[in-house]
Amino acid sequence: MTFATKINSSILLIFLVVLFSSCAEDQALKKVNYHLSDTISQWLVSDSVFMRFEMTDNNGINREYFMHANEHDETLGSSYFMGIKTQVSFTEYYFQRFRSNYSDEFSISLYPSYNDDVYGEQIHFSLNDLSFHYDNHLNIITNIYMGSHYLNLRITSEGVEDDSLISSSLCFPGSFSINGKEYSKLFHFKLNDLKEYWDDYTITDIYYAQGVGLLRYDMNNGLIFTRK
Amino acid sequence: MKRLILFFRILLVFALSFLFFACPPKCNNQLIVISPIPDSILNLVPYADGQKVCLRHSEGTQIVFNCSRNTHTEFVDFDHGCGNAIEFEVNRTILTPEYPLPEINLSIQKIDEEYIDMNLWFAGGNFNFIFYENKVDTLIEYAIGDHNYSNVWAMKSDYYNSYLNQPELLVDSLYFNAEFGILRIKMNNGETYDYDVCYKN
Repeated sequence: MTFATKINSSILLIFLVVLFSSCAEDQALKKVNYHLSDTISQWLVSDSVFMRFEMTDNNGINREYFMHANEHDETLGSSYFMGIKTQVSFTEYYFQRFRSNYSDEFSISLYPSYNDDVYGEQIHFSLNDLSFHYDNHLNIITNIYMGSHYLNLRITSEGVEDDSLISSSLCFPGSFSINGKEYSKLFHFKLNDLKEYWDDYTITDIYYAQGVGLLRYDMNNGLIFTRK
Repeated sequence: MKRLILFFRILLVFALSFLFFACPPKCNNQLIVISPIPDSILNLVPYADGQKVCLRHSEGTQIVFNCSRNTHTEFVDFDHGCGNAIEFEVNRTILTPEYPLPEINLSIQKIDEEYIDMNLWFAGGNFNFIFYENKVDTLIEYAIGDHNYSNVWAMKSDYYNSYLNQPELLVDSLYFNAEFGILRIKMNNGETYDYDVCYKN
């Protein structure tokens, strides 16, 4: 066997190994795991499915929220080059969804950072028609959805392209008191965008505490829902 | 080569015979048209399309509902297009609240000549009324505040909620009559939604 034949056989062997390994769902040249930090995981409600709590509005009408889904899993992603699977990624995520007896729904999802230099970990929050994404590294809201209307920031390796597009804010008040209970680790979301589409039931403010969940939300018509 | 052609011919014969046997038998379908819902039953729901309906929550807030009501025809086909089909009337009333609460749905349907079915749904609770031609329901007198109502259906809720996990705060019972409609919806925590005259009609 000549040297050239040996080289060709080796290349063929490598090609076949790569080809076969790319057939398996979780096999590739490179494996990457994206995990969530303990800091961000604290935003989850520290309870299981079947936990429930009541909220009352300023007219004394009560509604009960109950946990409907509590998932912790990872998604599998793949990258290919010329038909060869070059990378598989395992992305950890958390997802919790609550429903109320009056058909309200809110959810929180946590996603890890894909690129530490540009993006941070993400909190995706949704309450009825309103959703937003918050980036924990950039400390900004990157996406707002209100029904079929939305605003998405364009983020590249250069940074945020138009950081004045979204004026809604997420801040972290030192403490917040409701019905005699003091909460210290929470966020306050304030909607300031898409005002042309607001109606009476648009949710304008949300208070949410680490480990506890929804504390209060306000509607554009003055209705305020607070945790009992 | 000849053997190959023979093989394909046999295969074709088999394929064609399967194709013919796969055809369903000739359908013997018949359309059964159920007679319309009588006015005597339609009048049990005293709500008109475009009307405002009001209920007062036990803490004092009046909740205004906008009513839409229509009658349409539906079909039920029991045997995937190969058996009898039934054409029947459905009268649907939807009360849409001007408040963050779910709609109240009322549906009357006459799917059989023997009886008429009426359902009211609200917040996971379901109330089923069945009217037979020769059967009179037992109705009661019921007082809400200073008002005495007569000929009242008093019903406990069934649940149609398909969630894996049900709320504990549920619709408990309904009081209803043909003159005023919903007189009271009672929740299992004691909260009530009572019939009220609308301020702004």
